[in-house]
Amino acid sequence: MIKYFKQSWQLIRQNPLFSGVYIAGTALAISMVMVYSILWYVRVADVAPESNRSRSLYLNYLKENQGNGDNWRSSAFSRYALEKILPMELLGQELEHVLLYQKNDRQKADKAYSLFLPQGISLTVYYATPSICDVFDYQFLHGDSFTEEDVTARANKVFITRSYARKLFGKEDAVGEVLTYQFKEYVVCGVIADVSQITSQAYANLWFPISEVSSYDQTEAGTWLIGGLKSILLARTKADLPKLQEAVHLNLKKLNREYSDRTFTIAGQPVEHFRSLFNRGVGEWEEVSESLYQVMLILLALLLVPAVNLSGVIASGMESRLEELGLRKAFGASKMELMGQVVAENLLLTLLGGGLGLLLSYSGVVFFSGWLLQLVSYTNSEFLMNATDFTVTPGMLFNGWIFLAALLVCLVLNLLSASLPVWFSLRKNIVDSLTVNKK
Amino acid sequence: MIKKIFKQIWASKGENGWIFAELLVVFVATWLVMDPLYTLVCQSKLFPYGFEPEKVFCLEVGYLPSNVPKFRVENDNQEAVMQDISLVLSRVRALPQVLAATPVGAEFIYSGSFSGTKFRNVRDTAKITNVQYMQMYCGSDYFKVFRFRDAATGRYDLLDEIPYVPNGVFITEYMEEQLFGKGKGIGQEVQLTQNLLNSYKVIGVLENVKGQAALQQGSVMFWMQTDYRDTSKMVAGLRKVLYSSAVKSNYAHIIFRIDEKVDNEIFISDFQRDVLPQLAVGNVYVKDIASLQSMGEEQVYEKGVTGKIRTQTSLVFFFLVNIALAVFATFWLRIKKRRSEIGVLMAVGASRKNIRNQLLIESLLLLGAAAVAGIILLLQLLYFKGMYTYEEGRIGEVVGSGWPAGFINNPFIHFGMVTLLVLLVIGAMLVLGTWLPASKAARTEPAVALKEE
Repeated sequence: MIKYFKQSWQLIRQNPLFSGVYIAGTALAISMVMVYSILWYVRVADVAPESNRSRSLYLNYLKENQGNGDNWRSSAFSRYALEKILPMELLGQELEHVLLYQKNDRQKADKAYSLFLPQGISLTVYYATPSICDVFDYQFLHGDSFTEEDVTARANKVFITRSYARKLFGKEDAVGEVLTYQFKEYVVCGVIADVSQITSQAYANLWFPISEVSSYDQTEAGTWLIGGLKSILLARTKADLPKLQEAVHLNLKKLNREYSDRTFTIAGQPVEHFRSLFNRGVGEWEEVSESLYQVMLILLALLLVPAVNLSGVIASGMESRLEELGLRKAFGASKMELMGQVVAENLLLTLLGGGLGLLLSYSGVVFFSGWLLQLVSYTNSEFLMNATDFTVTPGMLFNGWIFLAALLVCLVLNLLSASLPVWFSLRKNIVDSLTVNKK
Repeated sequence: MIKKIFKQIWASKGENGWIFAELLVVFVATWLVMDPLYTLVCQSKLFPYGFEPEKVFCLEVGYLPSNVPKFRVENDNQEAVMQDISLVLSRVRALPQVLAATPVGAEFIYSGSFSGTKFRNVRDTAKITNVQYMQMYCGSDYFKVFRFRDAATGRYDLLDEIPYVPNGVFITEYMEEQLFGKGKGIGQEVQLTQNLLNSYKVIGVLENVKGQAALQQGSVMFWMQTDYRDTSKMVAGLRKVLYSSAVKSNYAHIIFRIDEKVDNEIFISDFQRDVLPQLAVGNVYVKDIASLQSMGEEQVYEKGVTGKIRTQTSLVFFFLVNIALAVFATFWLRIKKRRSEIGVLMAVGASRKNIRNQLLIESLLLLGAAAVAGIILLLQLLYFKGMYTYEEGRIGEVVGSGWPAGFINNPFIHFGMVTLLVLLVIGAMLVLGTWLPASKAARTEPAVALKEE
């Protein structure tokens, strides 16, 4: 193997153009595949502050069907509805935490009356139960979150991100400062590290206690089941997810028995994180297999096209080496041995290209993450237009999975592109090989 | 010459086989990626709006909540709200850059919220079409702001002079064609298929309009709510109920058009700094200003179209770079081997240009062959799958196969255009990839090349 690598190094030095093109082609292929893989990784894996994705379940939409189903409307849940269908009896057992929240995107600044809001930037605002800090790993730099007591007492508290604290107050430690939002004053109780839009579920600029949602107090029976609240259930382990889903479905059945003129459905919810990425709007999930099929097709195209192209390049390169291979064959080298040699030689080039490609993909993701994330976004409006805070953290890039994937892609690409042309060349008989350049 | 080149290609069929295979794979892959790209770019970027959104701005009107200190109880009634919003409107109209301004509710073009339903011809109830509809106030400069054009005259400025007709509607040409036949719409009546109580009288036919930024032009209808100029008690009373409730529920907007010569960016920042604070009257205030065009772009983005365009563009780019690299490397290596042949050619009088062109034509002929094979493959595939269409969330029906929608909806033009685009971009890459090796070959000194033999 080492011998082949040495030889390969010699060949690279002898034929810089061929090697250059080969490495560039490989780097391009690897970088595309890796950008795609990294983007999927940061959307799927447990990435801080969404460190608990794999054991989370989301409840977003409730659909109310009237009559024979022609008439329906769909929105989030009222607090009453959530309290009815959430399996609160499992809290402390399979169910570790429950988050109730309302999240408002694209909050425009009320410029005429607000203290200060940056021009052209819209806000994302969370109204949440304090358990939000258990569900998401927010990193508190100053102060702390609001508490259950604050929710009960309807305290006017808020925690904000570091960059927002700087914009509003000119300093990071803004605990104790007062900000005005929608004509109401709130005391800043905590400042957290900025959240990247890549973790779009955890992303926001301001976090208020859920008691600020005006309909939160309506818990009476007979109130609307359709409302503005959503929920995240955090299971103790991943294995507990099905049990929680089952419990929710059972509760929904019970709830439906209370109504004779209408039925409520939640279409596949509570949904796991991975499936939630394929949300196509109001409670409709694309068939995951179909979306995955699309992703696979793209990955296949990303591998196959460069593989065919590199095969062509190798095939042209092989012509000049037929003599050498013929000679070795004449001295008894088997087909497999020769194949191994060429594949190993190309492996060095592929690995060089792969390393370069990985670097390229890293810089691509770091500098253009906002632009690139659209490539793996299946929902309509998950990321905000013109948003800037798509910070990529080192943890998202430098990890075993990404490296393993890169290596694997290199090997597959190498095998795909090298084996076929070599096989063709080796089919020629020795005499032809030896005389090829002497026609 | 061509015959000679064909022989040449056949002579080195081994290597050309590889390039052919590459071109075939890249041709088919690029075609499949180009197809959605073509449709989406045409629909969202190239097809005409049917009106002029370029210098139009939208003001989001807000109403103070009752629990804030600034809230004034004495202004919290219909009469006062109408006075306050009228004052805001007149202040906007008084700005020197503003050409026209109109009050609207939640739904206007590119507002992000829209209503759609089925309408039918009252006299011929079998004729039904899907319609995106929105409301407008007669005589409020609505057409001077948006510049929807009259289908017959192509003018927008006279439409605001049309007197108020209760339940009068303006429809687009396509809706007219669907329900009444071309040119036969005016004076006819339409009604909802679910609600037969009201019928709406067609008082104007407009040029086709792209009702949603990401989609094709479709059936759009504008419904006259009340007369904005009429101060008689009944009409003014109705207007008061309608518009003051829109203001109080925070979904009223003021849309206005500015002079062509004013720069949009500068106007927005000046407006935010100097004008916005003055637009707070009583409990009414203006939240923010946005250009209609940016709202349209946002709609395209939110529909996921921008993302899909990016995906497809990067894939096309990727395939092209790949093929360029491969062709470059193959031809470069090949020229080394063909030096003697080139030497002979030049010795018998071929010019440098001849040599270069021969290589270029060789590669383009290979592309032609790959394209023929690719099209045969694609036709099999498309027979089952069909070409790409983007119709998600569509409300108004599409215009059909006339201009410009035919570029997408007519399968022959669609296929032809996509194929042409693919051939053009791959051809460009081939020329790019072959040019350098071919020029190098053309610089060969025949004597040297022949001596090497």
